[in-house]
Amino acid sequence: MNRFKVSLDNQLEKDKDELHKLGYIQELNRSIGVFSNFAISFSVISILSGLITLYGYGLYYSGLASFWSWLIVGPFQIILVIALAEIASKFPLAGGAYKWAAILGNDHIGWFCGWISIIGWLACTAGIVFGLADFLISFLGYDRENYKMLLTVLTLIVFIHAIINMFGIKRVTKFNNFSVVVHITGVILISILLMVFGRNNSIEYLFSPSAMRPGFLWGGLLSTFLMAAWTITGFDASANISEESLNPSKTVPYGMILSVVVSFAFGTLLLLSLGQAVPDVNEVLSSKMAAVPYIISKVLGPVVSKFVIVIVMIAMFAAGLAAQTLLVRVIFAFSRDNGLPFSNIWKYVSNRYGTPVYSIIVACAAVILLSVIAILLTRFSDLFMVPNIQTIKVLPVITSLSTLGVYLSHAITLATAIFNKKDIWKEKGSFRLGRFSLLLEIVAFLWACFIVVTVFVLNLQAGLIFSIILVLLIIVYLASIHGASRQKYKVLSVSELKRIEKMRNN
Amino acid sequence: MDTLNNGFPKYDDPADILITRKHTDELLKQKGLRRVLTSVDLWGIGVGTVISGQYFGWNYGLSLAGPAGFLITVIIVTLAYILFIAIFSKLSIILPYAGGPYAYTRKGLGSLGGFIAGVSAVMEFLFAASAITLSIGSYLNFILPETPAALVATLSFIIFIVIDITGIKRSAIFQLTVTCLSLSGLVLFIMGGMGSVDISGPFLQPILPSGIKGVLAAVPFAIWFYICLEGLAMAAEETKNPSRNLPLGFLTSMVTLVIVSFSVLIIAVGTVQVNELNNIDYPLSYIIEKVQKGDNVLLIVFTTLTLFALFASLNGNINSYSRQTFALSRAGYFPMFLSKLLKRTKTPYLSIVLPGIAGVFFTFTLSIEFMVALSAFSGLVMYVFVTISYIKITNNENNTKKDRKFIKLAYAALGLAVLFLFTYAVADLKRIGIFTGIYIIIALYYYFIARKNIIDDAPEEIESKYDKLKEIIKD
Repeated sequence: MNRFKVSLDNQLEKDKDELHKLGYIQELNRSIGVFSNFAISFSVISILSGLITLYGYGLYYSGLASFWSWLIVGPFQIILVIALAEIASKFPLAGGAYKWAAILGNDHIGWFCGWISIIGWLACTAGIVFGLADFLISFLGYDRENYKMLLTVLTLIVFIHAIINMFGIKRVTKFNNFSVVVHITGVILISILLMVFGRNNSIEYLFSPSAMRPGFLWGGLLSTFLMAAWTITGFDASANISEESLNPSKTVPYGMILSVVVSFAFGTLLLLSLGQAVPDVNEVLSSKMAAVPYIISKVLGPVVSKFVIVIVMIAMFAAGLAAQTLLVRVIFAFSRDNGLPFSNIWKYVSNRYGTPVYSIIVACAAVILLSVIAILLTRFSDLFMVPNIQTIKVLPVITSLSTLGVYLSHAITLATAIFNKKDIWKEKGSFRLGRFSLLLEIVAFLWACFIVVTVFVLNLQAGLIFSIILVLLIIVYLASIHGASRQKYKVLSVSELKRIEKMRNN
Repeated sequence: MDTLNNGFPKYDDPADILITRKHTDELLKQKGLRRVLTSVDLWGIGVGTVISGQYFGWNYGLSLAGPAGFLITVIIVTLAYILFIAIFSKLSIILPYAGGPYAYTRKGLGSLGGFIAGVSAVMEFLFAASAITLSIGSYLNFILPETPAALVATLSFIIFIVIDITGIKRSAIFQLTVTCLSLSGLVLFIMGGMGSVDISGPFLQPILPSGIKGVLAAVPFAIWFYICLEGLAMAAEETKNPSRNLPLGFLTSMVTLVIVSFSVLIIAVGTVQVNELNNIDYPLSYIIEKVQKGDNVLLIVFTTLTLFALFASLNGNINSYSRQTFALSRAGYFPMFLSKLLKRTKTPYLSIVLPGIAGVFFTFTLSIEFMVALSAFSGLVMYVFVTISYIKITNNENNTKKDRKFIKLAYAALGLAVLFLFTYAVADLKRIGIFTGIYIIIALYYYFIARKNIIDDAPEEIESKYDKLKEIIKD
């Protein structure tokens, strides 16, 4: 037992030194291993959250052929995560994508990237929690358009997440490990049940042209990319908890890649079993319930379907928690570099719990605010030519915004990596790609750009919000560029850091 | 402490005993089982070992005592078990060894008592395992008549034995999975039956048709809700931080079982007539079929999960009897070869396999009623011994007021255990004759064989002499 403790201390020292070299003090608690790292990413990706909440959206635009979009997006996401994993391995810092952009590019790029990624993760958290609230009020018997009820439930959920997050990363980690079990068993359970009891379509049918809906080529297919693209976002979570992970240079890349690969595999299983259980696409879309709960209740009878839906909601709850953890870490990292207004508040870490409590509070408030804005915006659906089907009103707005933010920040990061001439990038971390490095980065970059453009064009409400934010950012940037208010990213020397740390600990 | 004696160090100086707990820990580390279980694993083992009792067996008591009467019976049995498990919890902190009941009774009542308690425990779990295997066979026969039920049942016994041999952690993960599945089945039952519960139902039937006698006569059936939970104590040497996790495991298991038992009982009593459940082997399936007619998915899923409940209980019982056998063998009462550990996995493979072979033999030769009765009877005998030992062990001058209060409760528990034994005796006198005969044989075995081979350096033996030696040293 003692031997283990000694090597643990050694590792902690080593990791602390690495962090100092990158210019930061060890403020957060470092205790996370490979599996927990994988677990938090896997939880944020949450196939049960993303696929199930956007399944109706996919059905509307593509019919059962929505499955094909998953098969296209998946492999490209794997390429994307591999390219980013290499970067993550070299720079294991909280803040993930934006920090890498700052180091590989310059402060200005980093600042934009930071804001964009915060918008992305904010919308991601909001999307997961919104989907959960939507399911929950429907489960409890309320009308899904009862937005007052939905917002009340949403606030409650966000509040509970905040409490859990405030009490420390260890509890969150335990919850995430449990979440992995829930997700995997949930998917297996649903798949087995649907395949045994719901043989409505054969597997071959899913791959045949008759699975398509009118409009599939090409608008439908491109729109459906959102379903897959949003689901497989979240692997950044691994990178964001780098400063809380043991031996991050090694564990973070593997955690990231593993979470995407495993999610892709189980997502495929889930889509296959859902696809062959769908009775009639039009029937599903015209019901008051969300798509997947409708299919499940039709196929599995009243009692078993309720049980299954509860399990799905538990998984979504865990996903929301993990997403909020991620969001908070990004806000924390960004404010540590004074990128946000009132950064001094957000970057405060409570001594008692080891967590950035004010960041948590502001994250909650922002999620609720965004949900309200999205609901209000859909009142003007006609302006944006969004079809008036319940299943796909508000959620696509939030998820599109999230996709835009996240993928754009990835694209920027990859661009800085591709066009990088600095020495700091010449020597890679534990996880290296060797000769394929540049090729993979370029492919990943193009893919990320493609998604950004597609989602922007096909989801104009989100595109509008995003453009407004970008314009605001540019205005703020230009306004302060001559001002002295914004501090720049400072690199302190290692001895200075050690001195500050000692002062803090005493 | 240099010379090795059967793998245990020999003591030249009684003062060496003073380092007892540190010494036994060292011993356990070298020659013992692997400490890998967490409180969640323990919950899985505890609940899983008992869970088939929620699915079957208890319903025969309903007609004996009437609906309200049976409710009273279950309340009495629940209270008794809360006391039993509390006592086991406390004892497991004082003596965290695989010997469990044997260890506690050895310290409280000496060698003979310890041996009888240990063998009672082995009989309880082994015959429970055999009874469950028989149930698996008849259940398979019931739901899928074409399957070779006896073969499949025996095969499952063998498979669980193999899983246990490959390592306690693997076995625990497997156990946790089947336990969760079994609990899901009960949750489905509760969800499905909830809407149809008619509170006035029980009062339209004769409430206490047989009065107090009926209530007591139904005890052997109400016991099904909790029996074999104490098997958890046997996992003491394989648990991380046992003084914290074992009581936690007991508590969480007990809470789960109480909630589930009462829920199932209330739904059963509120949805069907009591005499409908009289002769049915599978009450829950019957109720589901009646209450949720046409919901085929629910029925099929529930039927499958019932099977998993049987698996969970079988696996749990295998774990329990094997560790108890291992402890008795390690201390010499049983032949030493039974405590051999497999090097790589540190599991007592012979303790798992050999009694298992006997178990399979019993499955094919004895009737289920006999095995169930013997299992419960041995269990109750063991409770009596353990409760008395608890009182003896903790009854000293250092007790706080709270301790004294609890000892009074322990006396109550003892009384209840004796009462329950009595209800078994009254039910079938001939059988009691056979059981007494078995115990006489056990005592004879002790006098002629076991007594001569006791190994003083086994942890349970050392612990039991600790206080005496401490006194000797004081002088």
